[in-house]
Amino acid sequence: MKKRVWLKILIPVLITVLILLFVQQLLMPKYMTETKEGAMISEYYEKDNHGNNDVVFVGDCEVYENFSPVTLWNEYGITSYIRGSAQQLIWQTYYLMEETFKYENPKVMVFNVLEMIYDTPESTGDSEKREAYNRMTLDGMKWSKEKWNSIAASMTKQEKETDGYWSYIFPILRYHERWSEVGAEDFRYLFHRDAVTDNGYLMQVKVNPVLGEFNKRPLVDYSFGENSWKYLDMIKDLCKEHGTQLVLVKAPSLSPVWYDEWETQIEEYAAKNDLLYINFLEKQEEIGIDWNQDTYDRGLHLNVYGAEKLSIYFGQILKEECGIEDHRSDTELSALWTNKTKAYEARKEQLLLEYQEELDSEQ
Amino acid sequence: MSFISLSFLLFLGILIILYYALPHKWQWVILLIASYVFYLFAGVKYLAFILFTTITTFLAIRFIDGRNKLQKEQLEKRKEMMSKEAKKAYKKQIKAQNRLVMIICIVLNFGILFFCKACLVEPLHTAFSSNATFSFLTIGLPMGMSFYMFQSIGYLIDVYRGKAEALTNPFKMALFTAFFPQLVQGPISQFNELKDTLFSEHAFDRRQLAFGMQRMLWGFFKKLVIADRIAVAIGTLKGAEYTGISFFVLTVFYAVQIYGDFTGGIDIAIGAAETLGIKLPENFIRPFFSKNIAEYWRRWHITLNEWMKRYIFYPITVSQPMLKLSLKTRSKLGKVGMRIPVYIGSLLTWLATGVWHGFNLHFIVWGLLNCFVIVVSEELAPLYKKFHDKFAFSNKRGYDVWQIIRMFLLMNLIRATDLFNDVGEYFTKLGSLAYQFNFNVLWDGTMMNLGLSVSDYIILGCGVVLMFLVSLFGRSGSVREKMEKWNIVLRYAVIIALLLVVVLFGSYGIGFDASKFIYNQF
Amino acid sequence: MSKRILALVLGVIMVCGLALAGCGGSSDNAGNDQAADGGAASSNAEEYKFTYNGTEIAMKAPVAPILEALGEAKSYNEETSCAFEGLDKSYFYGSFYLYTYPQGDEDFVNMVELVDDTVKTEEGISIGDSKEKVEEAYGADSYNGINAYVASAGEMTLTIIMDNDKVSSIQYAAVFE
Repeated sequence: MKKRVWLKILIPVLITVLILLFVQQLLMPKYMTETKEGAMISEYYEKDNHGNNDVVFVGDCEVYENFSPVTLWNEYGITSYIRGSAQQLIWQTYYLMEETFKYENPKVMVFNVLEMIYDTPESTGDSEKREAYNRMTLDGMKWSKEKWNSIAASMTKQEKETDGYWSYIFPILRYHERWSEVGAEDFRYLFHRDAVTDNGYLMQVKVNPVLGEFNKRPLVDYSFGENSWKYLDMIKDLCKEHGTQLVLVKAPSLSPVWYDEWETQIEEYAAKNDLLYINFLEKQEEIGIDWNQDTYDRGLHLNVYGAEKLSIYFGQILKEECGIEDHRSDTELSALWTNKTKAYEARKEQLLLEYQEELDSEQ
Repeated sequence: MSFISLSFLLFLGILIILYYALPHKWQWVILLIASYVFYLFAGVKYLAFILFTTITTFLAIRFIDGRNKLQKEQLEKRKEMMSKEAKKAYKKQIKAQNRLVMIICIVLNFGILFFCKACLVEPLHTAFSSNATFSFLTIGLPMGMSFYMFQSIGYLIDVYRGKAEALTNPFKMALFTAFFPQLVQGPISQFNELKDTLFSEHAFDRRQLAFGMQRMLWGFFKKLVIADRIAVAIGTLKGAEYTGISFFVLTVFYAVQIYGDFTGGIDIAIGAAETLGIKLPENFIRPFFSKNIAEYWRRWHITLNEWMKRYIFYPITVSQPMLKLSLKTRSKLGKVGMRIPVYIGSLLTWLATGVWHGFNLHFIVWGLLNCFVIVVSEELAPLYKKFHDKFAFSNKRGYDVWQIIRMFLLMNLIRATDLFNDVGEYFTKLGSLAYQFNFNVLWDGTMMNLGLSVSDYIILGCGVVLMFLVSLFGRSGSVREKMEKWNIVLRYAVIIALLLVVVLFGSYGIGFDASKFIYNQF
Repeated sequence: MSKRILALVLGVIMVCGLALAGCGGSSDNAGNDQAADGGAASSNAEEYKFTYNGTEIAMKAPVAPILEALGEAKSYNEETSCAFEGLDKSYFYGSFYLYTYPQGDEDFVNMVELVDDTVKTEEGISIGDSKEKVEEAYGADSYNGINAYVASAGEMTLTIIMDNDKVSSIQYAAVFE
């Protein structure tokens, strides 16, 4: 009798939970055809993507659109991955790094210093956009202490005031209003995802030349915020703790403009802490970037041609200054990366085809 | 902590486990702790207010009880020594002392309430736009203040009148004042109704728990799916350009919103208490099925009206000056005159009810309008009777429906005073109903520009129909008890479906601040 | 007893009268309207605007008519934002930059930066003006304590950056929450 009472409670509860989970899975955005940036973070957990990377980049579009791991492999036999997401903020980067160390122990971690300019979630301006970026960076993470901490550090005031943590624990609370938008994509990718990146690199093939110089609007205050410094220190200490070399870079993106005052602060920090810092903006000629050819969005980010050039240049540094080994003689890795290269070439071809169609239809 | 949050559900879940798992004699203590934890979520700074009310009323009650005991003792002791007059005088003296203490306590508490209502509410609203220099003034109205204060003052008056026993345990007083389900927006309980269920031990009862949760779910449905969804259209329709039929639409929408919001919130409160085995008084009994205004006010916000009747209307109408006045008016004006004191009582009660809602002309107008309609229908009662006697059709069912619809529309118009801070604007809009028959707003696309999409309208339409059907279904007895007799699969299917509807179609989350029930602002 | 309660009611009404008188106009709008109606009060303060050759440029204003009035820009630039549709655009008119942000299919004014002394603010300040002149126009208390005067109004701020007690940059910016 007693047993039946429990069954009477348990079965309906179980059914309810299953239905809710299913609906949640259905309603969560899949990011497969649009806003692919949202699907990037979770890709890292795929079997072939982690475990043996010598170099891990962590950061926003200035890394995931500017560096190409496949090029690094083919030119130097360097294994690498980019844990990137749109407008990733420094604390998100930190917690992603912390999480990465649970999966592997890379020899080098690369941090792009533009992230220093945002001190708080509010300092990015539009809080609605910020919330969307938060979701793209955080929803894809597996549950862990790092994810929780990252959520705590990332939530906007509005997020804290509405559902707060709950909407990350139960994303259905965030996406329930998508019921009217559910489409074929949601059903197709209910239980699996396609890879949108090549080891974290989000390929762009379009060409949109730089129009003109970007205006360097004077700022009231050029000093980086306290919070930014705190997390940079934490990143530095974290890498030290794991015996990983931290390399600071400034991607060669022309906008947002990089001020001399910012450069000074980073240079001083790098010198003080004995870190390698490379400002690619100053190496444009050596890299060979042609702003008429190598950018897809007028100088903000490189396209695949630019990214390959930058990767060739940076690979040399990784090899010579960081001593990253060439793994091309490793048969297992070779096989893995041959597949990755194939996928990369196929993607390039596909995207070029689409781009050509787009150009043709415009004419 | 808002009722509309998972935090609240988690809080309640933990509480339920502790409540039934720990020794049952501690249940009321657990409730007290939980209530204060709940209140603390609203902000530490508000704690002082509820403590003040608890302590002052408790002291007053102790004083009155002490005096009464002393009086009894003294009278017993000096039974023989005292003359009848002396006894009378002594009783009178004690009574006067008690009265004074009670009045001081009431004035102190209501003084604070009025001050808060008058001064704190508005700065809260502008705190984000103007530079808030007066930080004290911007703290906002402490949560549920009007509710817990009325409840404890009602209790105090009951003790003074000798109608309720005086608590000796200050912590029980604290629980009675702060019991969390009714803290946000009522219902306002009477001590005698609540004391047994609140302080006694409750064994775990699966059925009760299920019933409580079902009632909460229904409350969430009304609040999240209906009230919060329609709110956006009400915001738009308040605009000056919406007159005539648009105004009429506004009053109907507002009826839907306030019904969903307020009865939904009360369902959550009563349901939450029910999961703990505690029975709170009902605050609504299908109010929109009322056939006349007096009935309406016996079925809408019942506990407040009951309070007003017991502690304001009744004392005023039977007071000495009123009785004297009654005699005078009766001799001069006849039958009508006899009722004048009652009308004065009604007037003052409605003024008080208006003021309770807020220090605002529009609430006073709202109170006066209600009072006016009540008095007029009272005066015309003989006429109605004649009408019903003469025309048989008026006693048919169809006529009842007509009366219900008429009442619904009339109350909608009166209620719409709430919506406009500027009373003049309200009357302008009301007036436009008399000459502006712009029915075309119903189909010319105006309704699609209120912030509601087609799917919103569909959800709202289905939701309103569902609320209506459930109300009809509930006329002949408890809906949940009826459902209990259903096939178990069907029952669970209905409950799970309702849960899904709330989760999917509820208006909550980012870009949506549903945390405010209309009625916890009072 | 009832008499006393009557007195009490009157007393209470008196108290409320006093309370009302005590806080003056603040109760006029004592809002009990539901908060969900989206009627968040915005500051009434007059926003600062930049006017160029009779064309008023207010923050968050639709930019299309402004661009038409201003004529062709000397230079133009655009920026995408990561993962979002739409472009942030900037137009240079010789003496000032105009920045826009997209919303839906339209662009709106995000920022205006004055770069030379041929243009001035409505309050008469231009690049190179003295500290005293700025203080006269915007008040000394708008000074941020380091190097700039910041005047906020409504959903925008006007920032005047100083260099050696002279105005070096004037920026109007929309504020987003």
